[in-house]
Amino acid sequence: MQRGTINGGWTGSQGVDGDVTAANMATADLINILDAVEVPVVILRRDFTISYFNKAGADMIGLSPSDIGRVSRDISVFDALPHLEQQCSEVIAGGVESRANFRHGEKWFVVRISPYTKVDRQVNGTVLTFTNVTAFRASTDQAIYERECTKAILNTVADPLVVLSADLRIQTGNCAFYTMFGVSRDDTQGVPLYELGHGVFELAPLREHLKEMLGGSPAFQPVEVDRVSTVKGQRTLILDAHPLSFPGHSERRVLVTFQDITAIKQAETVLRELNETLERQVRVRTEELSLIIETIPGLVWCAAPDGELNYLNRRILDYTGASPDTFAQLGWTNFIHPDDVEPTVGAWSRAVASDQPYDTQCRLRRSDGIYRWFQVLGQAARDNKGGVTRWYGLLIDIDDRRNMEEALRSSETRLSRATRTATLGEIAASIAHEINQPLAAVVANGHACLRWLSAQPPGLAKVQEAATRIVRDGTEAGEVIRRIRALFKHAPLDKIDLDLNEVIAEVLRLLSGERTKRRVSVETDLDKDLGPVAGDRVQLQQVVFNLLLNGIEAMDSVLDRPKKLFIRSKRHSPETVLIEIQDSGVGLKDPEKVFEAFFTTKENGMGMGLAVCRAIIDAHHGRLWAASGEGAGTTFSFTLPAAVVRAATLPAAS
Amino acid sequence: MNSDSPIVFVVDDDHRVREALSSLISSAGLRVAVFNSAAEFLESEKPDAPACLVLDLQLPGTSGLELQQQLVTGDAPPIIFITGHGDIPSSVRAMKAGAIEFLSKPFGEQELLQAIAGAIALDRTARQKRSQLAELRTHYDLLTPREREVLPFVVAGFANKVTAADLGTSEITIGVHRGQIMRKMGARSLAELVRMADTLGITRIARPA
Repeated sequence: MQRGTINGGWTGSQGVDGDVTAANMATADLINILDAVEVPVVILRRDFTISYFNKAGADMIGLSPSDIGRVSRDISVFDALPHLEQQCSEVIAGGVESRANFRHGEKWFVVRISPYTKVDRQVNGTVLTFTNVTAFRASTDQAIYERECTKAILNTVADPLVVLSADLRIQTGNCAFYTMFGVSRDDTQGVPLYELGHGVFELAPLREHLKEMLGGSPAFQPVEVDRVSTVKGQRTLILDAHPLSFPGHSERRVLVTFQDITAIKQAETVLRELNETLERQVRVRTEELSLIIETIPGLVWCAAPDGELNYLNRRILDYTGASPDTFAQLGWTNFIHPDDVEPTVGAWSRAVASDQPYDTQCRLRRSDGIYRWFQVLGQAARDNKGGVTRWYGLLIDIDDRRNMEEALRSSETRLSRATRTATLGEIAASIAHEINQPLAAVVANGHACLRWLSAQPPGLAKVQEAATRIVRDGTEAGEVIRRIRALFKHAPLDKIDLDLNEVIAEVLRLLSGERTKRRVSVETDLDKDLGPVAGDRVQLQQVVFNLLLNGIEAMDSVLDRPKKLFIRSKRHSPETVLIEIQDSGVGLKDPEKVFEAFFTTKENGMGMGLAVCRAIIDAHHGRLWAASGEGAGTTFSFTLPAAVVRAATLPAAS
Repeated sequence: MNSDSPIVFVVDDDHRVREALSSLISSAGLRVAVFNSAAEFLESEKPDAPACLVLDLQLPGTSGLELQQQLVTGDAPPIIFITGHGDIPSSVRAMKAGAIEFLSKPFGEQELLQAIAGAIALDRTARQKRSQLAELRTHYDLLTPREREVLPFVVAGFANKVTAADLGTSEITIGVHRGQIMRKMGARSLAELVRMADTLGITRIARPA
């Protein structure tokens, strides 16, 4: 039926040649061919009326037999070809094919408009062939979509990217790329990479790497480019490149990425500077420390936990005249006096074995062969867990001190012998101390006297004054001499019965000025029933005076507590009385030493006072001693025989 | 005794020694001022007169040697040390530090008075020198910088012509400078100017440069 319809459609073309049967055969063939083709074919006349369409025309674009003879613009199918009439007119006029896109439902076609040429070559219509391109069109859409997605991704990437052609000209870049260099797509299209950023990328290594990559090398060595001018100022970038190749395309392209590492570089610089500063500080500190160790007035050494020496400061090397190598070869014991080797090594071994501080003395050989005494100190340095990491040691030259100590020891022996026998030299020194001042005054006054007498007229008032002073000072000097002589020449004492409580009271009165001046308070505990002693008033006064004054002066340096002097008198035994004088001063290191002649702790002292006191008490058959707790004041005590021996108080018989 | 007659300062902590020395020294016709301590001496007003200091070595507080060190200025009077028990090291130190004499108590009148006389004479000379120098300085300060440049040539005995050539000026100008120098310095002769220059420590030009 359809066939009939179509045949009807061809009536206008019948009679192309005279042989009807043959013609009919040919027509039937053509119709069969056309209907077998899956391409809709439509023939329009000059007046745009449809003269023919094949089966595909009915099947695919929905033409119906009633459309034959109708003008194309009246057929809704052709609404999708708005310029059809115009195109057809042009084809008929020009005899040249034309094309148009045509959509029918979901299908897309490309319409070829070709001239309909009669046998006489007259063109009196057009042939429209519809090629179905729906499948192709879909794949193109997908490609466009994919491309847009890729573009969007690339544009959101923060790192600039650019695609170069094989001759390294810029093809396209992402947003970040254009933003960074402050350029537009049009500015840079086709511009060689090396012209970008004032030629900053014109670098031999970069050129070489890109060349290698384009030559087929798989890996590209990223290149760091410094001081690249960008909209963000001078930046440091790392360029990386990847070859781009497309299947079926011979052209190679290059994707170049730029990584901005300026911040990293700055951080690195800061870190490096910080590091350098730290290193410098450590170096300075180390130098300082080594300077300290090298200049410290001692010989410094260092040893491993097992005792092996591993450091000696310059002073040790200078002193011994040995090099570290010599030390290592000979061993340190070689420099120690043969007599001291055993005890020193023993002490050292014990210290290392027990990790205890090392402190010993030994003689160390100097470069000139002379041995000097050293104090050797060693201290272990420990880690957190208390394990010994190192031994640090110090050698202090104590030769002079040791020699002095030895000299002192022998002079002490001599002195203690001397104090017992009261040598002439001591007496002389004491006399000099006591009487030089008045004697000088006497001499000067005497001269003055003579001068005033010989003056014209004589200054008699002055003479009298001077003479009075001579008498006064001379007497004083004489008294001192007398007392000293009495003391040391064992002259008989001027013994009377004497109340020591009274003597103490007298001396306290004498010292009242001194007590006030030095803010010393005095407390007494005097035994009313002390009873008299047989003694020389002047001498015993001297003793009490000396001891009290000593006590007062001993508290000069006391600032943190009240200065208190405590005096007690009591019966010590039936035969003796006891006097105690206690100060709150700093105390004495060696209470016995203070009684030795010439021992003094005072700046201007001669060290005779207490020696004299002891001599006086000794002469009275008494005893004088001192007791001192370090830092807790000193108590001077003396006993004297009582003038009246009391009957011993016997315990009550039970 | 007028205000610029010599004065002897005595510093000793022993009143007996102070009294005796005061009497002895005034018997020699000298003014005396006595002090109990170094601090008392330092605080006192001193008359503008030739002086000397008789100083005890052992003083409470600031010792004699310490006071001597504090007085190491050009204007301090010469020092005579006295001591009750002098030791050799202190005396050496005292003498090295410029003491005139070091006397051990008791000492004779002649020893002390001679030392005092010597010290006062020394101080008088020193004071004169100081005042002369001060006066010369005042004169010298009047010279212009150019005149101070010319002075070393003049005192070295160079002719104006040579000086002029050396300083790049005319003989006449040098002549004028020379006249001004003589007038301002108050020198009556070249010889006097030379002495003044020596006193001021001005180096003569050795030879024209």
